[in-house]
Amino acid sequence: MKPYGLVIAISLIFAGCNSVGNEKISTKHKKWSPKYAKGFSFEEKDGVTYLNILNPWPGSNFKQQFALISENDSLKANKSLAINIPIKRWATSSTSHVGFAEELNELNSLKALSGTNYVSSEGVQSRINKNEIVELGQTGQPNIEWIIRNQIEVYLNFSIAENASVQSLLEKAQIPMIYIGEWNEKHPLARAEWIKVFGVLFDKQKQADSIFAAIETNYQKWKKRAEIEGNAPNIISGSPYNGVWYAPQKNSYMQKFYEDANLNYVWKDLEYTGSLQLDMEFVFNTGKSASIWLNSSEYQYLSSLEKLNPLISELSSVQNSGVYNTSKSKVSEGVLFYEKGVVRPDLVLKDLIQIGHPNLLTKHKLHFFEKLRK
Amino acid sequence: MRIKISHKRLLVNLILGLILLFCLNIFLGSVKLSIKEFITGLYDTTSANYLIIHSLRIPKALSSILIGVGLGLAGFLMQILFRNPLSGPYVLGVTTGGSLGAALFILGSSLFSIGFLHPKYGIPLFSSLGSLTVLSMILLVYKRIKDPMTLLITGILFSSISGAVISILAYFSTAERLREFVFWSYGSTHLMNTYELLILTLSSGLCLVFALKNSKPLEAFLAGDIMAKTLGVDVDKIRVQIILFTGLTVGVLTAFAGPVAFVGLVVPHISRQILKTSNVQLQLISVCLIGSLFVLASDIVATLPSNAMSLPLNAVTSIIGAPILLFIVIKTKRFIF
Repeated sequence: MKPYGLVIAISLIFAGCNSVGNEKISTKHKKWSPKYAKGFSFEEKDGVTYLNILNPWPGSNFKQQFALISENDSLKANKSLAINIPIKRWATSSTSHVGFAEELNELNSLKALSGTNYVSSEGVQSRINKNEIVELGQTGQPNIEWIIRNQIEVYLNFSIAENASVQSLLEKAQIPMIYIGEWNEKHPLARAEWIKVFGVLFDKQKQADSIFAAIETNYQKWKKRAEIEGNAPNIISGSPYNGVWYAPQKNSYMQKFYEDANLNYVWKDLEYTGSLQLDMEFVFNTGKSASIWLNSSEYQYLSSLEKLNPLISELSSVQNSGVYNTSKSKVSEGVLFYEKGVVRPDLVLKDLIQIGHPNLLTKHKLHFFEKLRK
Repeated sequence: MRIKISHKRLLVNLILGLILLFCLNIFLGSVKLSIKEFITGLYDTTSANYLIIHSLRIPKALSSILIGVGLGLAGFLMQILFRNPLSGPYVLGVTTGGSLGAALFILGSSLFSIGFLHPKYGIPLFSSLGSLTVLSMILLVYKRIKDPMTLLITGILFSSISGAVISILAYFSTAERLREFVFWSYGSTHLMNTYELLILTLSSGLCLVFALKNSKPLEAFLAGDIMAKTLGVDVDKIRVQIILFTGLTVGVLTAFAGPVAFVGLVVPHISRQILKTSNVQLQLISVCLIGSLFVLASDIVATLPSNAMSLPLNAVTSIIGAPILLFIVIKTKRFIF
């Protein structure tokens, strides 16, 4: 095993830690937890900084720890558990990770991606067309042969469960596989805060901290302005499929957005495993008078929705053309909301405020939401 | 065992074909390797190709062989057990039973408080129990109504019930769990570790040893219960043993590789067609070889060589298997049994 230098980006990390987070300082052991996110933390032990990944999918009790090492370090560590920062060649299974990297202007180091058809980023699409970014295959079943052969330094994995077989093979090849669990966070700012993990990996902690601070400030500012607006319009959310209406449940990521945008989500108190699965009759009974319908399916026209179920045309939101989807895309089949919405919750919130309280944001152009046409 | 020269030649050809397809399976993968890269990758431990060949491709080819052997044998034994050419782990719902077991574990873990079991142990355990339960139920019905058509309908019924329960579990499951189950149900020979390969070897190997050891009683069994009893075969004992070995083998294989369709049904028929012998020992060897060839070939297609994407193995075995079976039926105008 080659020796590694031990210059850790501690100072940069702690430059960001001082402003937010809970810092516990002892002489040998420092720990820093993010302000909103629950899925990662940093700690310093004996002069080495570690990235901890915690419970990256629902109900998991899974942990990962990676030593963050620069080229000059003399630390001898298992390469699959040590990450040389900044990473220069990485691959990912999620377009959300592309959003984080794009904010940090780190798309050139991205070498492979699962679902290249679903990327909205023009920069990434252009590199895909030039074959500088290759398709990595299905999420959960990445092309491991390609990862090994092309000396990928880190594989960022979106996973709904432990992918032990892929992980053990990559460990053999001494390629760290990090479970990025931003999607498992319930608060929009918690998801965005994962930019700090990307900041550490790209050795751009200060930049990541300042981007997040700006997003947080913007988010809280617009949340307060929406709160002042007393009238909270009733909204429904979700999409019907085969007579069942799938909608966000209590304490979900989307419900937090609605709450912060001062929108009265009519099913906010309903709880279920995963998303809500509502019968159309129930939807009609409880959501008929709601003036806004958000996160409808990928349909572009109201007439397409009306064909799904005869009761849909009777909904006030449909009759008043108050239906919005999140299918907006720049290029390809990618959905901007899934890619950029994660890292820019402030813009998502502004969109929602514009939809629910148009008087507050008269000049705002919707970033992620699109009104369904007649 | 005396073997005809034509049979010997056929078996040698099958073995040569197996070696060729094994090498081809290792040579072809999602990353394109030149012949030189492939050869150096076989021995040069410092090359990235060494890891690709030794950690990914060889285990994949070995698991293809083991799955082919196990499912081929299970299908062959079930066709003997039920004296029915349409029997097979998939048709009789044994594979679906395995799927039900896996679904109970993956989709129902939150409902039934079985989340404490690690998937590595939980899925094989539940899948094996599912296969064994369905097979035992089929046998119970068979003991009361010894009609092949009724038996097939019973198998389809159990298959439907299992499918319905899976649908209900899926309906109440989270999107994440559902996705995990869907991926598992695609079937795959990829990413088997040494521990998993060992279990596959044990299950398929034990099934083969059992079948070879009981080849004479199995031959007698084919002639009917009365004839078998006259020849001194303990019919009930061997019937229970066949159920246990096939159920466990199919359960374990389904657990690790997901449901792989058509192998158990089509492989024994191909074997009978080309061998045309009632010698069960010969048939068993041939079933193992053809099963291995069939899954190795299907796996090459499913891998989509030099491509990042792959196809579900389960779909490929059906797409390849169904026309072969149809060809056999049209050519012979009946099933040789």
